Amino acid sequence: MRIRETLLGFVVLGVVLGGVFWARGRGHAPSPSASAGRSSGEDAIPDITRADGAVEVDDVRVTLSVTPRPPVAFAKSRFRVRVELDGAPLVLEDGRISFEMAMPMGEHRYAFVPADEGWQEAEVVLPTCQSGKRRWYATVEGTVAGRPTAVGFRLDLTPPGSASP
Amino acid sequence: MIQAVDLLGFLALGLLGSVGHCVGMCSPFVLFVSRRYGRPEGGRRTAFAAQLWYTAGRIVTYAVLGALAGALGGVVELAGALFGLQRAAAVVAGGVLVVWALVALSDLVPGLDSGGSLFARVAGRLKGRVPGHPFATGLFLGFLPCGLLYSAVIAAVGRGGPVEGAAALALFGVGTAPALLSVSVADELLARHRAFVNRLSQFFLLAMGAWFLWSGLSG
Repeated sequence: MRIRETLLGFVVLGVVLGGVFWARGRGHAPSPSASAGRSSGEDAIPDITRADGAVEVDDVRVTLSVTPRPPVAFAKSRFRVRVELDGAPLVLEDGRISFEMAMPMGEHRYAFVPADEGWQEAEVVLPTCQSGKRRWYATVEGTVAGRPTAVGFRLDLTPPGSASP
Repeated sequence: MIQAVDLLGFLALGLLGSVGHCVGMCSPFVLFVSRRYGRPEGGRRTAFAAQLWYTAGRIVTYAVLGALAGALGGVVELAGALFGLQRAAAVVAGGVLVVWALVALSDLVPGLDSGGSLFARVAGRLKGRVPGHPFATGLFLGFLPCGLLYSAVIAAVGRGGPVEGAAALALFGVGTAPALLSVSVADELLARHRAFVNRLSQFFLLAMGAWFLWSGLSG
């Protein structure tokens, strides 16, 4: 009886742990360009924590900006995106930005709305994880000149109430 | 503008998120509830009933947070109001886990678990402060600072009202139940008759309690 219960217990535990690995692998399935960046290391992903970040996709340049810098957890941050072809702004149609981190944290998806000077923006609130992880990966998606586009960025949140490091 | 999540999306968030997130962060509380409220003579039924009451308590707290988020229409105000409370919850919960684990492990130190020792008296007093019913424990632990919960609360803002927010967060809470109940089942099968596994879980409770204590104090 004890052996059977122990075996059953290990089976249940195995299913739970298998689910954990599955969920964590699924949790940060990256977009195509973000995947390319991450596969060559974190440094290859533009960091927008303290300065604008830009990604070139073919001949299109996608710039992402956030204020305040650094962005603060649990506070409103304004994410602005600008898409350019040879310096001239293009419209990111159906533009949206989604966020994920290594720890599964659910869906954080925001739609961009038009702003000034060719920029589009979204007001975002991001939490931090009790585990201490503060790094988020942002994926900007939309359609540029009829072509689906997805580019990845990264940022580190500052805890609320703490001095800017 | 945040993209609206439908009600089933909250259930899915709980189901999928809990597997990758809650199993890692909240397992110690599941083990604690089984040990605190599951009477050995009552068998698995009392432990499982305790887990259901604990889950119900969490769901009620989540629903209240969802109602607040829906009513306020913005998570910033809610997060600001709750931030101190949730840090306090982490400190208290971590402290209880540490004391509980130390009491369970005290038989490893000769003389420490005798009724007259200072440790035993202090531990006895602290244990007496733990809620007498798992539902109350669930109500309290629902306030633990949890990133996945915050994500659900932020998404609930888009529901547009207190009732909608409460329903969304309640479904999220229901979604988290299967993964955590599975941890409880595995614990029951493995630890009840295996002293070594039970001892391992006590060290796990101690480590996670210290972690919550530290993270609550350090912010």
